[in-house]
Amino acid sequence: MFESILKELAKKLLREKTVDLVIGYGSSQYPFRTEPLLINKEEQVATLTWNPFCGNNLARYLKYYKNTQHKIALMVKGCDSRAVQVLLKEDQIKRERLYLIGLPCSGLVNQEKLLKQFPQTSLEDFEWKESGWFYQGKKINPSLLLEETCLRCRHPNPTEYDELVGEPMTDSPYQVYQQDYLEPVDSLSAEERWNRWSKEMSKCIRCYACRNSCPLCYCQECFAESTQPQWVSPAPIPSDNFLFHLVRTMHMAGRCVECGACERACPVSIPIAQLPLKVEAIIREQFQFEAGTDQESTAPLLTYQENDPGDFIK
Amino acid sequence: MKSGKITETNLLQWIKTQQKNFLITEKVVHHQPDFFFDESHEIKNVKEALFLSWDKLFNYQWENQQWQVEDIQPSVPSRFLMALPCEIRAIYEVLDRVFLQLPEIESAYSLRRQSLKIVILGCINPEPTCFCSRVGGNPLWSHPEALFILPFHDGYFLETNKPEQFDIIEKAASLNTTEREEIDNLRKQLEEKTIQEKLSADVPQGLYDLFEDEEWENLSWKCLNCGACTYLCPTCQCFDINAEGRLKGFQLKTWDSCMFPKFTLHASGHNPRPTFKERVRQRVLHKFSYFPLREEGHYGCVGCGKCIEICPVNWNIREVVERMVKKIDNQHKK
Repeated sequence: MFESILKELAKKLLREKTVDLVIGYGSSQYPFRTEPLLINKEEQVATLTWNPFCGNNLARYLKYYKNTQHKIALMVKGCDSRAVQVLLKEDQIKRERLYLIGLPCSGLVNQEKLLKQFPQTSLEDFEWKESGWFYQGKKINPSLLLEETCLRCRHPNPTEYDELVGEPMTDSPYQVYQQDYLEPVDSLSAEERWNRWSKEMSKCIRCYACRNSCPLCYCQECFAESTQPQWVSPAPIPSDNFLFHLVRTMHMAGRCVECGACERACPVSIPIAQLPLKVEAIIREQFQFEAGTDQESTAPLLTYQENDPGDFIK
Repeated sequence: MKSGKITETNLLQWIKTQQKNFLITEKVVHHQPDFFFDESHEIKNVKEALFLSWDKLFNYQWENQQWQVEDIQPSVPSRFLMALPCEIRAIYEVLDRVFLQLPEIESAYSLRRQSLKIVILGCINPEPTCFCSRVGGNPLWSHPEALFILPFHDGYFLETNKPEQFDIIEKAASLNTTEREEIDNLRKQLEEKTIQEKLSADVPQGLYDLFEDEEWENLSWKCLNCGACTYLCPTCQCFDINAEGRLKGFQLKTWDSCMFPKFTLHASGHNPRPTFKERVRQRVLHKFSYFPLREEGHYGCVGCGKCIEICPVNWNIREVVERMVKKIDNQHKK
């Protein structure tokens, strides 16, 4: 239903020259997948789609247009709109060049979970209503279905948009179920955590899919690839993999919008979003701050106040 | 050619007794979960057995006003590698051609290659992302030097030309006529189900002629320029060399990817592949044009579909090639 509204909207925006191009999600020839779609002619809207597999954070593509004059329409979920807000605040793009098509989101569906828990199923069997996920009319725990990062989503509605397509969500899976992806990791002892992350880090091949899918990793030259000076060895050994991911995590502190695009991009299934998510959890608790939820507040790491909390630094 | 059948228990027993010296790929585990018994045996990709993600080439040290250089010979145990036909084709058809052709033989690769005994598991369950027959392979492709294995109702069918390398063949019982027929039927069925025509012989030159085509820009826009596809590709073989340490250290060889902007960055600051368009075009043309033009029509892609499976933005090399092939066909018609 929303697909036809989206298509009409995209066509109208192009026809009336409100924008020069539309960045949205396109359907894929494979089931349960979508892909980023660039539309600059009306007829290209044919494959435009919106479903719980639209996992890319499209704000990532705005960096291509930083120095162009294009007016851009962008499809944004709650997390994507937060990324746009951070980019606006960091002066990476001007608001007047953007037309944000807001998409209330009940969480992304994890393909692996779907096929494991509900083999031989189709997406029509699932529905979000009355603050819950239903499978063939029966209420199910969303942890059976959703991306882990979506289970802790606090902003199912876009925080900034020009037009909203679909009914705004009254609450998110997190608000209803209070399941936190980080809890099992938090409850481990320091030694267990070290062992767990050492194992995960030994899997990393340093393809940089996590960094490149992130809307807020837009450095001209990433420290990880700098050779003068060289901070990180190009060899994908656990120590330097750790270094890369931890420095990236600190660069994201107070900026990460918790979309989980990095984790979904990882080709070797490292739960890599847990690192920035943990930092954001600390910032939420200690500084009462969430990145990309408004245009006024200053990110904690960009300012200094005498009464800044410091007890959490151990 | 020596062939026979063996029970699943015996096969698993054989794999287990080799311990750390029996590598199996992720794709094999996906097809035959029973073959998995320990994480240390599983590799993501056949390259990990031959062309490592990082490797020390030699040690160096500045001493008494001169450089002392010490060669490093990799210690290579004799190992088995079990993989699917597409993955093994990556070794025979691509990696061997790159690293073992005179006059430039890659010594570490050569050493590892010589001590590798290859087991091919026939692929009875091709995925929607697979396209091996389009690039000259097929789900039951085999090589006489390797041990070929195919699951059937009564265990596993085995076949090899080198029985001295694979002691398990001694334990194999011979097949009776009905069983032979079953294997033949299985092969036939699979072929009918999966075989597509190989890309036509004019594709490499046709793609070469489309170098300046405007389509590349549209095709490449969504690519994130990460290295997931190239690092997990069984045939991608580009690498980088770095000196680790100033006056004392080692020469380090690591995987590199044509998808990275810095891959082609010159010391002058000029970059001949400045945008996603040039980089994506390079990946496609290297595999589907430059390599076959140089290597008697053998493609640099084995159609395993791994890059399609893991791409964060669903960038589909098969779809792109088919689209460009259509362009070639249309030009011929004109």
